[in-house]
Amino acid sequence: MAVKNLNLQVKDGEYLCIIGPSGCGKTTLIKCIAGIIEPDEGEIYIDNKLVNNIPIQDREIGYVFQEIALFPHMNVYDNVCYSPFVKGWGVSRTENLVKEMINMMNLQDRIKDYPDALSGGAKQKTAIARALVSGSRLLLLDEPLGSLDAKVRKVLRYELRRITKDLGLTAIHVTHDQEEAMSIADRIVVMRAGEIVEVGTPLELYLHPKKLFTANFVGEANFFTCDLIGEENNYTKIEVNGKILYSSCKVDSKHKKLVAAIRPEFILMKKTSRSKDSWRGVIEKKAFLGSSIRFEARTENDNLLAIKRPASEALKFKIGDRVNLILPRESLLLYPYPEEGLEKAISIE
Amino acid sequence: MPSIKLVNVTKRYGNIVAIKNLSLTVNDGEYLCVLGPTGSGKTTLLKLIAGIIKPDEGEIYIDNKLVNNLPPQERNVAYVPQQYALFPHLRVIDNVAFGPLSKGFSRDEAYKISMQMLEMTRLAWRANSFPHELSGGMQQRLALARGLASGAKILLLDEPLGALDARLRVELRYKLREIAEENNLTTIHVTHDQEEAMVVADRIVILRNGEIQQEGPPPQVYNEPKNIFVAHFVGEANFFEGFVAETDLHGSWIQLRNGFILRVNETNKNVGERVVVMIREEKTRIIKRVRRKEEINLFPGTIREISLLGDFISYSILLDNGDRVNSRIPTIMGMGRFRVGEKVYVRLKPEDLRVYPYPPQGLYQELEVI
Repeated sequence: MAVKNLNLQVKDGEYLCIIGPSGCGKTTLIKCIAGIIEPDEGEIYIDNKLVNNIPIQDREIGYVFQEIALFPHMNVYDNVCYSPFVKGWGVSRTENLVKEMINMMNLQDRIKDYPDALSGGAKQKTAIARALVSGSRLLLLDEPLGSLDAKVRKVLRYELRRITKDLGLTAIHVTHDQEEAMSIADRIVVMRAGEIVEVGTPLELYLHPKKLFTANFVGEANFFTCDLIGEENNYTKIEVNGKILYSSCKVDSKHKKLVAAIRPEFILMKKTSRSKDSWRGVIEKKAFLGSSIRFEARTENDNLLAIKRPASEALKFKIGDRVNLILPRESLLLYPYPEEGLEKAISIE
Repeated sequence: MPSIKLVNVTKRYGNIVAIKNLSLTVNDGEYLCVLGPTGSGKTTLLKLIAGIIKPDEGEIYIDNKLVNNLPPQERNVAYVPQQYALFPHLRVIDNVAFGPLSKGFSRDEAYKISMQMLEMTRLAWRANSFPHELSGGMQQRLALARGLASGAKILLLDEPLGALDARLRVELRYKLREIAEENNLTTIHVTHDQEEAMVVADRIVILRNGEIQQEGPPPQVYNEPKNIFVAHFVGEANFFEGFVAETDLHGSWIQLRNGFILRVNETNKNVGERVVVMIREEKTRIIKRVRRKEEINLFPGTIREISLLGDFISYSILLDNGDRVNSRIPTIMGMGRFRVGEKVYVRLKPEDLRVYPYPPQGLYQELEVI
């Protein structure tokens, strides 16, 4: 089952990203919305109108997909014009609109170029301009940046968001790249095995993921199983391998076994600390990420913790250093221990 | 553990020069990443070392032995192509054993080695599956196991994580490095993902149009980019166009657009010279108010966009002179600090700025990696 009994509402003018690992059903979902695939059950509405039986060309949708499909024998201008919607229009209307879209995508210098003279990024920009020129108010983007280099993806994702917002379009953008989704989406839908795991704004999913899977898939996280001890001064008290920690998360006291999660970049690292939220550890690994440094430290209670610190702290710590790792209670997330086991609950394969 | 050496290597495809007079040494046991945009010659470089294609000029040495005329199977290299090219009709274990068997190992020996390789890549439990039953990440590990089963000590990886989901890529890149280390391999890993390169590599080589732009350990390349292209391609940077207005013993004053004046520590540019000034986005600070009016390198602007990147928040600011800058702040510190439309100041510390000559074909062209 590719998509299971799924309910979702996308607001007018919203930029919605759908993320999830390969095979989670995100592409099937967007194809159902486009009308390329028919749902077996359920209804799809666009603009409050049931579209189940409306063929793709009548749904007034702009569609961009990963495999860049331009006509090789046509230049950029003619490729952008080539849309069934545009065909019936008068010459001046077509010309004005096409030029506008080409300018918006910064392709004005390339209009006479043929696709094989264009870079991957310029090709995809042409495909986006073509999807926009039809005048549809709904833009469906299926891994639109998937075939491009990392650096090009970063530039184009902001252009995509800018152009849809400038034109007041509703956009649904499917991607496997969580950073891409976080940086441009108004809301993100996290999918897994044909079902929606969670929907929220980027910040909500990043700071307070409701599900373990989201905590792992959207950003990185350390996980450890722990036992619930009780409550102390409004904080939940837990025990991890013999060490006590506190969290500002509330959990139902019927769950005795829990999973605690914390993002590597929320852990503080000090040479000395008196904090009650601190563990001692030894740095085992250090990797340079550019603007930050990623450490791995073995703690006194034998947990392996990933820690990310700004690059400015890089010189302060080296492999073999004994450090204090502070796990701030406001950043420590708690979840009931999942029935299927921790590894399965967070698995992204 | 073997070393690799290329001396003045050139490779052409018709009129296109894919590799231009390139020299490079890879040390014993080193993990080298070759980083560059599409079409920079990365894959060609790997294929030359693997022996799949021959150089038009220059020499290639493996273990100090000239290998120009040696066929791939005699070069002691494991080449893992971007498309894994697994045998779909063979079980996982048979895919791995193919190499040792065709090398003349006995059946027992070949399967023993193959099982070891599968254990190393944590796939032993799937030995009897077929490739299509494996996830993308497992297929990647299988391709790796198969490459290594021939006993090669040189590992050539062409975009090894390119076919995988972004999140999985992050997880597997650490595994790749571990496997290379545990087995004392000399590795060349080709990628267009600069973060991936920085995390796994001992040394990075940045390639553009078949030529090496810079090579060095990741922090050096990141902190001291030799040219605008490297600064732009590795990490995130802001660039300003300007002219050198004045220089003195300790630094220079750069005239930016519309009257903004910027102080830099560099003194090696001539007055009147057209330059580009670079600063990393995470070194670009935003402040709400200016306390002392006489402070230098403080520029007024307006917050135009805010976007979350995960561990960082990126603020995009339109300066009053029309220049646009991005500033990234760790999320935990930067959350909700500023809102769109807010008037702020941007601080650019002289010690964080680097100055480059203005590129002859224009800044925009130099930055275009698209």
